[in-house]
Amino acid sequence: MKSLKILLPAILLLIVSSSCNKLDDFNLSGTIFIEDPYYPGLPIYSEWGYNTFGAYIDRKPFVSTSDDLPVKVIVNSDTLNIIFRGRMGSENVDLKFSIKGFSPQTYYDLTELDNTTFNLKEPGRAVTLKTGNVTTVLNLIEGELIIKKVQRLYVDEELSRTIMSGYFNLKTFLDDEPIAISQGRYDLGIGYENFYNL
Amino acid sequence: MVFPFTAVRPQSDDNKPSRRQSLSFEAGFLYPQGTIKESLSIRQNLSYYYVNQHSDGSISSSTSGMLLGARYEYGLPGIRSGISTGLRFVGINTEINGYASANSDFFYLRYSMEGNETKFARVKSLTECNYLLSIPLEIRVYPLRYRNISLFAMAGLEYSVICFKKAADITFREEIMNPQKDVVLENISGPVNRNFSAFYSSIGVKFGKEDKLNYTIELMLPSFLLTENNFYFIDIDYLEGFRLSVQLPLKSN
Repeated sequence: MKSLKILLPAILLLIVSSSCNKLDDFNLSGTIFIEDPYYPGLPIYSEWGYNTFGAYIDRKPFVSTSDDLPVKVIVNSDTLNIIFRGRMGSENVDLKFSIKGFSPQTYYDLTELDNTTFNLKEPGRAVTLKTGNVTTVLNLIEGELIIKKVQRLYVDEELSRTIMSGYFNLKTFLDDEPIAISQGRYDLGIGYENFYNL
Repeated sequence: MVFPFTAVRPQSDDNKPSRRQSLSFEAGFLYPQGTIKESLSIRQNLSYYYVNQHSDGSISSSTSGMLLGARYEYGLPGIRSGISTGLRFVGINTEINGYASANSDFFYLRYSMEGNETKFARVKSLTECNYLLSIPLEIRVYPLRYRNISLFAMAGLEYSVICFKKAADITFREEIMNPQKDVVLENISGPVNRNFSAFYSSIGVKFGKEDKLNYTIELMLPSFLLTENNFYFIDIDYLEGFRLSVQLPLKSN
């Protein structure tokens, strides 16, 4: 019993001291590309500026990658060009939306487009698909570009960039075959590095 | 060889727990398990984007707790049990950190989203502390005893009656944001319950002779909070932990 009286406080001390080294953790992994569980291969729709986009071209996912800026916004005269650059399988693909009549001076002015839907069949709109080195101006059956949310992003109270989020869908002909670009969604940060007013 | 605790001697009056009263002093650690609240708008980073389509950043949250208390126990030898109650000080702390790269130990927290403006702060850590005084009510059953070692199982309820401190704090990466601290904290931390109640259970071992100084070691089984929204930044699913006690006999009948 004497040894027990010595042993127990020693065990107590040992447990208390070891528990101080590392208390319980539970971790959360932060990701930027969060896959949509309902549309595998595509990112979820978000409004965080995750710099992702994705769509199915027929059944193949066309998604942004890390190799290139996922978007460039180029204002040329009175036309706003939004170029999504990504990959479909191993092929580099650019999808360009051209909208006449909008010419924001800076990326902050993109907020004018907040909650706007463009019918891509209307005059002054064009969509171009570049696959590899082949560029095709699409003859649309139907299509729309929805700019659901445009936000000016302040980081530590300083204006940093603009976040543009929304959806796109279209049907067109490619090599005389009708195809659909469906479930398109994007969440993109636009700043000095990817906005050009030419 | 049979496990020694199964070789209990036939019970006789001398090895039944006697009807006695005791005072226990306890100390322990709690390991709450849960997740960061979904309402807390955390974004890992703005610019990093990798081929494998995951950022290399992560958010980690650690929550830990400790308890100190004193309990009066009244033994019920007829059913090899004891009922106890007392006072317990409980402290639970949470810290949320972010990691983006070797020199970017921060995360982005959205604290405002109005109209076409959204505001992020670079945050090094979010912390929360809760210091409470609670009243436990516990029942222990001692089904097995071998020499000076008893095994027991315990179930208890606990309700906090005094909240000494319940506070959230934020450490910004840039000092320029410090004047915004109150605004940011107000935006991200909604109202929470100041007190909590919990149901818990444990299994343990008691060492020592009857009517002498005893020691106990208890492993807290997953226990559940009966109240909701007890914390600013985390949702607790359950609590685990361990507890050590010293039991002083008061008097025997």
